Amino acid sequence: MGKEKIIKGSLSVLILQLLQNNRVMYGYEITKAVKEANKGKMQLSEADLYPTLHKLESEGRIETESLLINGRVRRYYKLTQQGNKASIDPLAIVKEAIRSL
Amino acid sequence: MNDITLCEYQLLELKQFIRKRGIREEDVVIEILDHFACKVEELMNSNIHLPFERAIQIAHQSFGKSGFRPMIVNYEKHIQKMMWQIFKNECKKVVLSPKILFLIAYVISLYPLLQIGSKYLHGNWLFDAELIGFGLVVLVTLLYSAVIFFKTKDGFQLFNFNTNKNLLWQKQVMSIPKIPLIAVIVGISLGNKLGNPDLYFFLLCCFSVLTLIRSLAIYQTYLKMEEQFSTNKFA
Repeated sequence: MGKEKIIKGSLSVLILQLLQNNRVMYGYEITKAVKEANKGKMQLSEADLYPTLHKLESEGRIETESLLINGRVRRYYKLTQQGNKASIDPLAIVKEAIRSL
Repeated sequence: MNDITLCEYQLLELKQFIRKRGIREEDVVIEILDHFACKVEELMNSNIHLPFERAIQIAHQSFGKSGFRPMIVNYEKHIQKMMWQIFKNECKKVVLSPKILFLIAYVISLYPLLQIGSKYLHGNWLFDAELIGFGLVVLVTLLYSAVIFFKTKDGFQLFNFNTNKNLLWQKQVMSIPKIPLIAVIVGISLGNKLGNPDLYFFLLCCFSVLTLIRSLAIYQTYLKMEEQFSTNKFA
């Protein structure tokens, strides 16, 4: 099991942390931020990000809001109260990272 | 220097590119389109000589070997999970609603009354009233379920991804009128065999109430999903 697998496993934790710091972000913004945070250590494709976002949404940790930007609909993601709690609890972060592996 | 922003025509071209790759669900197209457009804009901004068509190709490669396919597969899973979650929550809400609690209490109290009535009140108006009570519960719940069936019959096609998983919900709705019908037929033959018509009436009543709870939960799930989709989509 490589480092990449571990980082991918903790993607949801990373997203929660990003949303905690930035409040509201859209898909492309998150992808870029995740890639920057990993400094190119893992090859993250766009297809990896959205499943994690959808998973977090179905778990009620993040919610979406759609806005019309530059002629197209942009979906913004933000933390729910439940997601907020999870992202500030360090133990929950570690547990989540292990669970997602 | 001004940043390049895709025009309406280019966005339309991107949309067609996505749809040509088998993505028909509007919600997924919307999600991919913005991401795709951002990537194309970024590529064109970093190299102003890069043609739009080439930028599309490079942006598509960033989605990995399977392209958009994993996104649609995951999206379907996400929607199904969401529907089941809503359905479970709605079941709980329906069961705990005062009207249904009253109906459950009424049905449960009717059975012992019916047994007492059949022993001591045979031929009495009170006994007839109890039987009418049972009949009414069955009739009203089945009628109500039928109304819900007709309301939601075509509804789940709104969330149509042409997959078997979605057909499952369609089947759930279609089973609303079938289940009580089967129950009545099985119940009549079972009641005759057991020689206990009171028990049969009681079981039929319980079954009708369960059907009603299930139908109401399916209907509420449909309404919630419709709301979710309408807030996520732009006209």
